[in-house]
Amino acid sequence: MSKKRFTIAPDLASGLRNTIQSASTNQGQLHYDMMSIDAIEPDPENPRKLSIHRNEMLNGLNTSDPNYQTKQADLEALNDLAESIKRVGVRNAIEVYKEGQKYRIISGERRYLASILLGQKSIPARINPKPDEFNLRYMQWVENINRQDLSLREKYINLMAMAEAYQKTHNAEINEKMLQDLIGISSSHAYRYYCLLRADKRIIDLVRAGKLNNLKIVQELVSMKDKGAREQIISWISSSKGEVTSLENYKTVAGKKAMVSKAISLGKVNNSNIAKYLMDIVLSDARFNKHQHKFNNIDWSSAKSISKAFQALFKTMETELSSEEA
Amino acid sequence: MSIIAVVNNKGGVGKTTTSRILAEYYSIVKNERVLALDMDPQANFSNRYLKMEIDPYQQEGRIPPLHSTYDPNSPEDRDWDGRSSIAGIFFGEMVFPYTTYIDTLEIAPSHSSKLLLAEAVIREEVVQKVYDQLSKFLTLDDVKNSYDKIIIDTPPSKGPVTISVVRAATDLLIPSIMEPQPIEGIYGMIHLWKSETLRRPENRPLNLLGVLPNSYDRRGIIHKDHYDSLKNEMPDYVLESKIGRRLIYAEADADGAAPPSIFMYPEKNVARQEVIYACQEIDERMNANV
Ligand SMILES: Nc1ncnc2c1ncn2[C@@H]1O[C@H](COP(=O)(O)OP(=O)(O)O)[C@@H](O)[C@H]1O
Ligand SMILES: [Mg+2]
Repeated sequence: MSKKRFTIAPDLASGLRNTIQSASTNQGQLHYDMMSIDAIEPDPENPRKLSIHRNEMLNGLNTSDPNYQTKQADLEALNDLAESIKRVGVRNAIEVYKEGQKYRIISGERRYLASILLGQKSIPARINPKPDEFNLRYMQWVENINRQDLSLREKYINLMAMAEAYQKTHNAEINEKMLQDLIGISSSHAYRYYCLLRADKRIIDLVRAGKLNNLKIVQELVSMKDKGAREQIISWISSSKGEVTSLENYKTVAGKKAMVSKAISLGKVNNSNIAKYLMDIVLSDARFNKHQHKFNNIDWSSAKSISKAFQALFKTMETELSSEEA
Repeated sequence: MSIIAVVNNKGGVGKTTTSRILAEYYSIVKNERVLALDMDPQANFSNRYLKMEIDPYQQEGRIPPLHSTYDPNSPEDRDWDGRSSIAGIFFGEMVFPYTTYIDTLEIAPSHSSKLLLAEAVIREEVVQKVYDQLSKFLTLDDVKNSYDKIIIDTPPSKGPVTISVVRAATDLLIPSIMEPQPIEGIYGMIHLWKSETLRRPENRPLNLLGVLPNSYDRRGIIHKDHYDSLKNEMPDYVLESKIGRRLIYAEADADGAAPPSIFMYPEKNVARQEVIYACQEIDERMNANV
């Protein structure tokens, strides 16, 4: 009779192995120390720029400031963050590197400012070796890309800074595949950022002006084949007052040769008999009488019904006449 | 100064027995200055060296005896109740270690209700403070200059108190019985070690001494099979030496045991020999950087 043998359960065994492996390869990864707030300074070139300065934050905002609204919003967001820091502390250490006498922030500027707001004297910080330009922009990018409240304009500034740094340090253009690998996003998403990177100045100006805040629209514009239509749409967007959130309306008309003609108002009548008279005349015309059946159910005592019928009539006429022209 | 933490979140696996062995080995055999810390509310470790008293407010609880230096009539001691425990570090109290029957061994004993309080904290900022408290205490110059080894016995948990011990330690020892349940406890501890390893700066690593098999039964196959299997998964972290299952260890645990320490048995005593062998292996594996 063979004896029963015992072993450790397989998942426990692999758990032990993996944990030990991971400890030895990631040693020191999460190390941080409490660092004096005064030893830290923000990165003057961080693309994620807050509108608000440290002084304003501490002394209050000036209501006559033209950027008062934006600053007020930023301040509120910082206050929210400060509130949560007060409750649970700064949960994730900010990332810094030594620059001259000070430690400069790689990521965590908002946590830093909120801590100042709270009057904290120190903050958990992880000291990194000074990153090269590309890695610095890249780390900021990674931190910024998932933020909901980051505008496309800010993302663009970060993306360009990263691309330029890449150009400098690697002596090569950043391409779509690299973006995908670097950022760890889907290829369709990477393609959109790539389009943003390739976009011409007129599109970028729209992004900078805050009129385009949607990566998908940028992609549509950049990859649009009909150059004339594209130019048309771009000038429409530049003349629009606010942000443009969809190209649908523009695209339906921009591709047509005849640009949107000014619609002509046919005025109003009070006497429904005039309307009936006009309708009869039009429908008796040889080009339109085949549409007569559509207009059998008009309630001539209802202004609403008559107006609706006329809308339909004009539409029918326009279709009929334009197919005649073509 | 080395700080050896003896951990396993399963109970009854030999944490206290191992802590005793190490404390007595370094003090009696190596003649080093040792401070024993009892972080377990059950106070078994303290009980071996001090006459712990029943907490008047808690039947199950133990409190340290009056300190030998305590003088209720001295104005200096006016604000002190004469008892001192390692749990005091969580409450801003001074810690006065007690002397023991061994010249070079001192102990900062447990205090059940205080340790249970520290273990039960849930507010995040308080938890964070508990985590760092022990390492703050052990880096005090007074402490660093007074001892060569700190031996810490821990509660069977992964709670804030155990984490504070792991944060303070230079070396981690995991005693375990070679059976499925205690081996799961090893996994929990390896996880703690990993988190701490990631958190530490690279120049101050937490050295994992490894797993010390305890209550090892050389006759059956269950312990051998589990030992081999464990050694296979983590070859660098399972000790060669084993502490056998022997009545003598349980006896040494009893009040009035004579002799009181395993290291006071005759040199050819097998238990004493296996323990010395284990301690030597542990000593060789100690964190050389500290
Ligand atoms: N090797 C051993 N042989 C026999 N009894 C042991 C051995 N190790 C520990 N014991 C006994 O087992 C019980 C639990 O051990 P202990 O060291 O208190 O474990 P823990 O501190 O992990 O709870 C104690 O009564 C102890 O005397
Ligand atoms: Mg115990």
